[in-house]
Amino acid sequence: MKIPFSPNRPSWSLTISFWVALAALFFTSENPATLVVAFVALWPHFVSQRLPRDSSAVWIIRLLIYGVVFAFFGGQPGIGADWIFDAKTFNMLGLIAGGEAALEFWREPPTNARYHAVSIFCIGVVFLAACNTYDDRYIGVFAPLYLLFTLLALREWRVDTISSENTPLLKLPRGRGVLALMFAVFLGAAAHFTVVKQRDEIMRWGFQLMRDRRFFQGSGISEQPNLGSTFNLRGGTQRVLKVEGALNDGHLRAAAFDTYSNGSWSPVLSNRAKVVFPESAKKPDASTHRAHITKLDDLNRLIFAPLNAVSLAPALGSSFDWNKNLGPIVCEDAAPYSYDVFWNDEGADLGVPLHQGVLCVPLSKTDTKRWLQLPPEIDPRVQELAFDLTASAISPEENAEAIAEYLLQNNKYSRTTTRGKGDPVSNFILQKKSAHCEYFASATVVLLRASGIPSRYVTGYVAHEKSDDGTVVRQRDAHAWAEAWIDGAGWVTVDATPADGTPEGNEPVSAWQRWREKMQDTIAKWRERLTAFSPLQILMFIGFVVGVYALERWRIRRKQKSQLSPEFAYSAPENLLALAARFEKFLQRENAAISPAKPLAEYSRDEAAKQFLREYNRARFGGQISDGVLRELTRQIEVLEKSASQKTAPQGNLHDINNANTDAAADNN
Amino acid sequence: MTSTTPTLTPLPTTTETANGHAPQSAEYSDLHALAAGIETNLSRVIRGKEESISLLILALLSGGHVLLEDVPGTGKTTLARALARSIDGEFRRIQFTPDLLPADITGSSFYNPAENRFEFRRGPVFCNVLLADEINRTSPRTQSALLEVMSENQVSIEGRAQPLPSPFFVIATQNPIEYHGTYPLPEAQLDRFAMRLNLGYPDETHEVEILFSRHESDPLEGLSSVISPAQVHELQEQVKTTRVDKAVAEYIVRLVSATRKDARLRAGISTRGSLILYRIAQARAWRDGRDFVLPEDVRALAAPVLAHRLVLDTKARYGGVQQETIIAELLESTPVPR
Repeated sequence: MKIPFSPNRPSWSLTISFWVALAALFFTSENPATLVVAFVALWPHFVSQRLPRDSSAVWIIRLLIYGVVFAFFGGQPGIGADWIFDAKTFNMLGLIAGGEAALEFWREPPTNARYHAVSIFCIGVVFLAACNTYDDRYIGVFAPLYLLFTLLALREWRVDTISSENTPLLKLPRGRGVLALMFAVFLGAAAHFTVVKQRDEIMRWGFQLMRDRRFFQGSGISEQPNLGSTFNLRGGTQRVLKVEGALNDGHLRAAAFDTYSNGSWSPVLSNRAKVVFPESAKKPDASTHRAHITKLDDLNRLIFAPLNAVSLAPALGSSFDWNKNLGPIVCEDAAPYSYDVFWNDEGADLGVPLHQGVLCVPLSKTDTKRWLQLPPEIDPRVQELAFDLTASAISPEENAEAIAEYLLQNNKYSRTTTRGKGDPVSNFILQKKSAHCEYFASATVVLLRASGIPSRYVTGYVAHEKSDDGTVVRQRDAHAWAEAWIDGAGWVTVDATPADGTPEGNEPVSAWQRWREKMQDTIAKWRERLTAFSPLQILMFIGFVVGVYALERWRIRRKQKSQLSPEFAYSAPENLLALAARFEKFLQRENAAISPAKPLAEYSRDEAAKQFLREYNRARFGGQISDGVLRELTRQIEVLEKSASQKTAPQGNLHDINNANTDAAADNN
Repeated sequence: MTSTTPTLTPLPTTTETANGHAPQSAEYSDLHALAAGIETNLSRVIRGKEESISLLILALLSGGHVLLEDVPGTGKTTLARALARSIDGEFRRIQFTPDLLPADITGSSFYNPAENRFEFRRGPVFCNVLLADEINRTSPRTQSALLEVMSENQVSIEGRAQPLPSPFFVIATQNPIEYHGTYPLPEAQLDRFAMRLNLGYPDETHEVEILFSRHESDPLEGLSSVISPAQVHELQEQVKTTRVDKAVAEYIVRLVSATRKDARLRAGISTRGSLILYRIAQARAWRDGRDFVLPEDVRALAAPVLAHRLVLDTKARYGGVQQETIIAELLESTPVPR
């Protein structure tokens, strides 16, 4: 393969806009591969070799880029702090686009252009991928820089066609342009160093912010749920769980909390039965049901299951960390991981020493005390209200029902609320305020405890959205509710939030939200497909790429063939063509690449070569071919070749040939 | 200021032509001197535009017509007049206006009561050098009357063909900027011009020269003719003897046929285009003292001869593609015969 030399260096402004985009991607994704890409894109400025535009090397490198990105980053969970859309997919997209842009830098630019429009596009994709973050600070710094340099690059896209030979390779803006550029770079650098220096501080703020929003925004589960003023569902459309199979209760719980103190719940319930795999689950009968749950996101590693699950079974090759009976159940695998949940119809004989299921541990005395504990800050009027509500009820079930009914009747759902003075839960109950599920759940627990029913606060998701392949759970389905211990029945779910806290039940979902859900579903589906490739599928993919490449190659070959088709090969005498080929080979010593679209005269520098070309042209186009002329031309080309192999300096050649000429003349004499 | 007085000392051959003693078979070098004489004559008046002048002379040598396209006041008319003066032939100028009629160009028959018959009165086209000024300001009907004359070298009136004098050389000018009240030349008519030239503004040094050269009088007044129509005809015949290798002809055809396949073009270059390129390439080779055409000749002439014949499609036109750019790309992608 002949490697062409391109005198045109990539445009600096384009390169800098590329670096800005890569820097933005690096800061948001913290992926070191972006630095590698930036480094690779630097070299074409110092090296003249370029890949031919249509060559196999380009395709091999492209395949390599895709392979590396998918192999190394496809299997990793999304990195980087806080992404709006699926972090991993966007990260990979940015890397692939960056790789393409860097590859484009290494290819020959199209005729009369400094670079290919594809570069601008790919760099744009890199920057867009980097923009997929909640952290506006990086983007605020990088976006103006990126825009500035992209505009500068667009300005010098095309080299003036007619005078392309004489155009300077790097047209720098003068005067104020240079100042503006330096100022922008200075600003960017200053911002960069500030960010880097203050990074720990920034990260600390970020974590603090995220802790408060964690329940609503990201993980769905907080270690210490706080009664916030908003139930912010930003980014809440992301799919979290996929449930295949039936559930008799949509409340998928992850963690329960027992101690309430001034608007927050703690600690995570530490009491849970050890995993027991019931025989009934192994030999499912008519009354045992199985639901297959797939965890789709990486925001946490929790296992979500309905309260009445008699058994949880991890997928083959995967395992649960039961966390030594402390805290929620966790799976150590990267998403997507899946597990089975078994549950029985009510009244079925489980044949295991469990009252209800693995998540429902019978009460012990100390537990009862904890689950009846009311914090001192609760308003005494709440206690009175609880007594009033349960005065007519005779059983704990009726008590719980009356409390739930009271809250449903008197309080309305709202995603935003104000905490009010004093204890937020008492405030919520007594002022009959509108609030979100956390308040309803807390109020339920407080009222239940006040009326003597042991209860706890539970967080998780409500599965309610049916889709083609089962039930889909999104982040916005995050929910909190109460669980009460009813003697004789065990733990039961008491959800006093209107419409179970589902957004659709309380307010209409906007078209924009629906569209976002759709897009995210599509992205998630693609991600699932990409990560779930079998070796055969990967082989097929490679085969496909190779096939496309072969097709492309064939098309180019055919195009070239049609360009140089036999009926269009220039008619010329054979003996002269051989001389031309030798002369071209001679010229190749001094010229990097000889374009077939340019006359050889443009490459002939020294006088001897010009002399040969003059005589050759007279024979070739003047039609003056005789044996004498052929002999003379052959002699001249031999002299040229000899001098070229002896010396490399052009002056030396000239001298040598002149000597040879005089020698020949002397011989003739 | 000596430069304001006519300082041209005519070459020996031009003295003869001025006296009307054109040698019937001039020596090869003499003919060259004649062609060079026109060039020096023109560059006295038009400064700093050597390239355009030499292209104009190539068009004259090849018997083609030229379209000068530029903004007003860049010397289009002056150039045409200077060329007409350099040739000792009949020069006519038609200022094209919207009310001009075909008969105003070609001539018309009128009734002679004394002789009781119709007589033909010749129009201004019966000349050697015709300056068609602002050709796009007249109606398409009148334009096509002129263009028909240009391609056929004769005027057909009432069934009788009236041959035009030889050489017949048309220099048309038009202003590409202003479109108000104009009738842009259709592609078919643009195709009849051998070349389209843009003069452009002179650079600053030359503009100063121009200012001083007109200090007292117009340098155009001082120009004397350097060549006779018969000699021009002879030059044109001489040019035709230049050898064109088959490979060079194939190169021309490949360039031309590539334009017909280009997706950005609504119409490629016609066979008339390749014929004219062939002839002008001969003229260039001849002028450079070669008796054979090189591919370099074709390359150098491709833009002025071919660009105006390309018809861009709408997308390319509004996408800012220039006709010259397409020709340049074409030259970059078409292999040259070696």
